[in-house]
Amino acid sequence: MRSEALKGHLDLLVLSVLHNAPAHGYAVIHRLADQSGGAFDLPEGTIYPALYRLERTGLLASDESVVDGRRRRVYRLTPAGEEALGERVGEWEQFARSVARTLAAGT
Amino acid sequence: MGAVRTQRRTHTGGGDVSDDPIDAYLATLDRSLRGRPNRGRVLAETEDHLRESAEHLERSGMPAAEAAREAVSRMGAAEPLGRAAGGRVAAGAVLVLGWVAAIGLLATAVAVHGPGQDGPTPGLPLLLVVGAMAAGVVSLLAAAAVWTWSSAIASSDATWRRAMAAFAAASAFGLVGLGVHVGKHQSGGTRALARSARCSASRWRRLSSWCQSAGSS
Repeated sequence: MRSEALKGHLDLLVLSVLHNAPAHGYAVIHRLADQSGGAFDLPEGTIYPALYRLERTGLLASDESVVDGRRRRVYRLTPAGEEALGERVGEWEQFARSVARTLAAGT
Repeated sequence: MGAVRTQRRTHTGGGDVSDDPIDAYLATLDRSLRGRPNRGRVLAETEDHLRESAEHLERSGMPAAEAAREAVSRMGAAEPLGRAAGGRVAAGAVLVLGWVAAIGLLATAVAVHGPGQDGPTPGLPLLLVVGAMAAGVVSLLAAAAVWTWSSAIASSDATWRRAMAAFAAASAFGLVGLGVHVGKHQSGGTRALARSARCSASRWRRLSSWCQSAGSS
């Protein structure tokens, strides 16, 4: 899937893959690819603007540790992020149902 | 962190340029991050990502050099990452705008009441100089607030994060205080400015009439 198709949805997807377990950027991009069955195989750098944006808005927090001699930053959902994820999933499900109904009526 | 250190040496002109594609990528990213408070964090995070990606590719049987090139290729362009890091543009723009305003006000003060234009009305230039200083102070406070807030978000250390957030809050508080002070004295200042403007206009008329009489004689 082209990365343009994900515009507007990347934040929701990032929140979703971090819902169950914190992860660093490399793991986030690979979880996205794995959980989508390879559909969301994005250029790996595209994940960082989303991570920085979500952290700036308080939906994610991060901690740094040293792994194999390298500084690694691990992101996790904040309580506000958990709440936002719940709201956005609800909105997405409503949107998807509406699109499906519209498409079904037109075919 | 070896590569990041290598790139910093290269930046200052003292080191060699590595052939490693990951080092080259980090050097490009480093340039695009210049002046940003979270430069170290973004460089370290990107290096961790690229090295881990290259290690995974090597484990799957790819030669080391090719794995490094592939890791960089998968990462995409470095400049958007630098832009996404934020911080510099906002603080820099506030600072530049403030100092442009300050220089403009000072230049106006010099042009209106500069050397060789002595007169009994020091009100307007004084106000302009004070205005220039205020614009500079406001821009510095605003830039400090923006910069420290970016640093607070970017920092991994909780104590430093709190300290930076407190400084950002203090800067913002200073700005609000300055605004309240200016608001309180606005009416007096406006009257003084109007009085000074009238004096300057009067002087300009005298100067014009002197030029006309000098030209006709």
